[in-house]
Amino acid sequence: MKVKWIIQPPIYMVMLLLLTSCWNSRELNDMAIVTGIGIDKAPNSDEYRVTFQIVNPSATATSVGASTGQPPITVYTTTDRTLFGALRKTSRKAARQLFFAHTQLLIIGESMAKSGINGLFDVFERSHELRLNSVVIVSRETDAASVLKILLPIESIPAMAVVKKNKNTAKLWGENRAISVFELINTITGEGEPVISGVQIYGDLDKGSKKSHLEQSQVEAVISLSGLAVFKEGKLKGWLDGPEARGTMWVQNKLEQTSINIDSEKEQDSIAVIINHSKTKVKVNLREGVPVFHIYIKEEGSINEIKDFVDISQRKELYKLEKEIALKTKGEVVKSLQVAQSMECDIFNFGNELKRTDPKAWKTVKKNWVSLFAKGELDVHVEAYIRSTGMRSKPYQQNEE
Amino acid sequence: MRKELISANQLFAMIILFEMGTALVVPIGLESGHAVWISILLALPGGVLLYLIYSYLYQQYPNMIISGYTQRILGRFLGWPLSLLYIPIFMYNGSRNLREAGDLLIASSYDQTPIFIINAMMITAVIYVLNKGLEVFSRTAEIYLLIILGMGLICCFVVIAAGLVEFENLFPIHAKDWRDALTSAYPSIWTFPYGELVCFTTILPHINKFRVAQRTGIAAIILSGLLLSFTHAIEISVLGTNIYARATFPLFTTITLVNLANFIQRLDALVILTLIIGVFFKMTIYCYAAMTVTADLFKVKDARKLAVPIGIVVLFSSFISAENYPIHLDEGKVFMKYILTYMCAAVPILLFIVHYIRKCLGLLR
Amino acid sequence: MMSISSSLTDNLDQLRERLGNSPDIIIRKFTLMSAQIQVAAIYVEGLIEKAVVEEFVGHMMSIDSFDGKHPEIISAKDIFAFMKEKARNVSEEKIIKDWDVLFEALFSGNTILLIDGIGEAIRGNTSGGEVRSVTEATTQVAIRGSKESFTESLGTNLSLVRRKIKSPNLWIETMKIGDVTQTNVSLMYIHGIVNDKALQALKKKLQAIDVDAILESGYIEQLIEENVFSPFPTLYNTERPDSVAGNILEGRVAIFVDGTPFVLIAPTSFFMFFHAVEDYYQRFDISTFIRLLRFMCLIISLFGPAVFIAALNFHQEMIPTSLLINLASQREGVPFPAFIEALMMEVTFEIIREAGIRMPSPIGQTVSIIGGLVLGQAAVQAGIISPAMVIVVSLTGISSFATPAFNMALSIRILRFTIMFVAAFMGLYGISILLFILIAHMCSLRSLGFPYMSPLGPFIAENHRDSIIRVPLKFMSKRPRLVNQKNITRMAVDKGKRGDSDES
Repeated sequence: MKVKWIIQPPIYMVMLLLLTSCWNSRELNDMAIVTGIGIDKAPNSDEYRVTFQIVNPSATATSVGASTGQPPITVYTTTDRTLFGALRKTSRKAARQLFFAHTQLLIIGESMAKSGINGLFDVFERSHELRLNSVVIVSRETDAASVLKILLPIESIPAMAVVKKNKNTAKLWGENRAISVFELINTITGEGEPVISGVQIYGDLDKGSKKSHLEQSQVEAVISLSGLAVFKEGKLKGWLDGPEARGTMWVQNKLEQTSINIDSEKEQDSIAVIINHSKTKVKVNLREGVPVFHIYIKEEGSINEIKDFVDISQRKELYKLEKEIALKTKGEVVKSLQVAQSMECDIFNFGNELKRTDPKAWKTVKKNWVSLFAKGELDVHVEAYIRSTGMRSKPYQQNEE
Repeated sequence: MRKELISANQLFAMIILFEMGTALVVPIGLESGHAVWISILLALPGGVLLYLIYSYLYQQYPNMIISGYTQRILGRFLGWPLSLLYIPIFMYNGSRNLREAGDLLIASSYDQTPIFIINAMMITAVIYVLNKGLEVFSRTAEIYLLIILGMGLICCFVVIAAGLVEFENLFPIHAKDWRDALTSAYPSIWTFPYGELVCFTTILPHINKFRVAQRTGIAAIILSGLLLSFTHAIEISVLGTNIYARATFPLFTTITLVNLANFIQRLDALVILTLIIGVFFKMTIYCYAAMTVTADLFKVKDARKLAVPIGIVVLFSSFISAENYPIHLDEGKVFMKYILTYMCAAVPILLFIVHYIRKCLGLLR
Repeated sequence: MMSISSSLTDNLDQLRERLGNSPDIIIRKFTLMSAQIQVAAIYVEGLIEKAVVEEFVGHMMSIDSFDGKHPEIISAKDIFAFMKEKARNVSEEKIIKDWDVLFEALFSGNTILLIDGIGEAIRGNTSGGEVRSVTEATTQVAIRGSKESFTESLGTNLSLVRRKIKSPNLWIETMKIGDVTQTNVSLMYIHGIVNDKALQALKKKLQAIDVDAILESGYIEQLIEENVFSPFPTLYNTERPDSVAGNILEGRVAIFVDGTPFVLIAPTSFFMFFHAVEDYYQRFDISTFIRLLRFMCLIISLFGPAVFIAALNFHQEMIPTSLLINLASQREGVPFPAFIEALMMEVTFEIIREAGIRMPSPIGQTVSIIGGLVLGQAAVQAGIISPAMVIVVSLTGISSFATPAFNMALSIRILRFTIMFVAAFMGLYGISILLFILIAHMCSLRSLGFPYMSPLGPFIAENHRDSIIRVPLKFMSKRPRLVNQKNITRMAVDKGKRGDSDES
């Protein structure tokens, strides 16, 4: 009796194992790893034209066997009315089942962006395979498929390269930011409007999708981050570039590092300052029914280049420069705010902020928030500090006097 | 057969694992929006009070499980059928947990696998442990407590280190939020997960000292309440109220967002493991409770013989009870509101009052 | 029970008949001149020390040379009395009356004297012969610590421990187990420290053993362990005297079996199998680090290939993207599923290991080199196995060697295959379900009535000073609880002076 009890459970176990076939077991050789998805609007219909960038494992750099001469990626395009339908329909073209858990990049074509993106992301939430932290990018003046087709040097998988470019420039230059599907959904469900980084292709598209163009030091086509796409009610409204884009990042408190040029007494834009730390606080309140946006920015930086003579060993001069930095920042911030107001797009989540801190007041303005936002008053305060001047104090160019 | 004894540490481990079981992973107290974490804390005193009632009854009848003293307090004619009700309730609740685990597994990575197989595997482990007896089970619980705390620490660290936590999602709390928090705390969070501790009335007689049982029990409930509140606070702060409310398994979604240094990412497995561990222990305790109550009511000498039949009933009811997850959740709401609250709270309170009155009147031998 | 007859010829005939005329039984006959009485000396060649026999026999026969001095000795009875007296002087003397005892004495290396006309025999301990000398430990090597190890001789083994613990409380009990082999089995423990419950349980179990042969301590181990169908060993074996000494000082019992250098120790806990004696000789930080390393190796060697298979086949999303692409490109062209690949490599590894052990040692090394390098390298280049799989399998292989107890390492290896199977069927979920069963099973195990998983389940805070980590020796003032309930203090806490006198 006792022995029976000991043996029984393992027997059940073994029986169960025999019953199970390997339902969910999938071999790596049977999967096509998708790294990028591009969504365009199919011309003259409201179907999606979905493009998948798939890794070609035998052609990646780490491959053991002899190189096959194939490019590291291949691209498939399918049209369907739903995204998931397109995913599955691609099986007609691909020899292996597409595997989405490693999708790094989602590119939305400009045509798609213009016709509305709000319905795109449900599959990302619902599916367990697609990941919520894929980066979303809008292709500017081109379609998503072309962006995915271009082969890039150094990073062998282009989708990963684009994501890295986005993160890199977000970290160093601060005009763009890698926004994930998750953040996008949160913005769409919130009261604000999303901004998404854009990419542009410079160069020859046809040559760029051939492997041969990688065999020269200057490649034929380059993908470059370019501006921020502003959406209104899910539709592409316009683009923010340069200082406006950076100002947006500043207000959103997403600026990691950037470099700004400030004026010296004689010359414009002659001193380069790295902002390596910046913090923004936003307060929104209503003053007689009109929202007031209080923005407090605190930033720290160091001087990295001075083109003519500024005697920065003197305290007075440094204070002046700090003021200059603050002024410049304020200018960019105000510019971005004004552009957004003119577009009537609350890309800074001011609505959410008001809702969070003062739900009662929010209720009164909720209905015509868009117009109220456009009328909102700005109250920008910037404090700038210079923390370091690098390896030298005074520059080598001496004052003429 | 010698009476199986469990120590204070083991009780502590079992209560924490039981409380954290599914409550960690599924959304609870949805009515309260971003103040769920406050609801959990608000429900905590109620949970402790309930536990005090359970342990008081155990003190009065140190060698009896709930069905024993129900019959003693209310008399055999009223008590027997009332305690009979506990058997299907324990089993159904156990099967609900099993269902939740199975559904998360299917939704997260085993989409091609039949739920029957997934649940059957889990039940196999449960039956095996039940066969080994309470002592072995409680030791296993001790070891798994360490494992689950370790995993919790890793998860927390990773989520915080990835910079996902945004405290703006938790604050400020307005008067209305407090009201919402209170309404979702009582009775919904009060019964799930705190009220479910009614199962422990079948385990308490295995502890030698009343004081130990009371103290460690309360400590465990408070700790698990704090941990639950903390976890849900993190979930909301990461996901925001909107996604938290819509997610079937918020903790899972939270963890999928982690991406540390492009290397530590998609730690879904950790969450799934946490859920599996939690469900395993919760379900085993439910099955154990059902087993002992059945054995007690029907005078079965060796309760362990009931492990297989009860396991099989739980297994089948786990996927027969609802055809899909939303319906399952819907059933859960009804079950919690109309049945669980009464069985977890009302009946023990009634027993307590009747016992107290009879004791004052000197009606009990 | 047959007793010895008084006729020497009868006795010798009987002896020859019962021993089947075995040539190693030497019978030397003497005639004592003075009384014309025949005396026979019997011993077994090889079990005796020649010189001692000569001395013993010489002493016994000295009655002739002192003829003049012993005129009174004329009868067989007188000779017997004289010899009894003499024998007492020479060595421990004992009178044997029946055959069974005589044979036992004979095969223990005694020399038996039979005198014509007397129904009793005299035995003298002349045991000796070829025994292996004390050498360095081969299976449990320590960089630091005593180099000696047990031998096949029970007496030597007992003395090796006795030399370390010079206390009257070191008690040894011997019993004979095995109907045919009549093997001496000794229990060694420290009176006053040993857990009496465990000791009694052990004695009861040993007495209940009824087999014909005990050839190694493994026989005893298998006959007394509680859970026969468990993959985990519940008795610890060692060939190091210092390990035995340390363990009996903690209240455990050592079981010595004649004829094997491996001494069993009970009761045990799971964690004991991951301790090495050296842990106590090195400083605490080093030993703690090494112990943690060993537990890490345990986890790797149990779950390494299984988790790899599960991740590769079920949870590809868990693998970082660049690593996944890397792995995918490695697996490109590999014709087998990951599980078969892993199974092939693991089995190959086991074959190489087994062949390496059984081969004579110079060839053994060649086998491992050929197996490891050539097979691994060639399989990868031929595209049959992916390089990542080779890395995983060799890592698990090496990890399994980091377990100090060989029997535990074997169990882990068997379990690894089971876990691999489950992983291939159900991925991480399968692994975690199996883990529930495994841990529950381990918690249900007992070694001589003591929970196997202590001090983790049941949790005993005190004992964690010396389980997964080891605290400084200064803080290890208590013997492990559970194993030892009384006399728990190991050292007095103040001044680091030993307090209790009853242990030394």
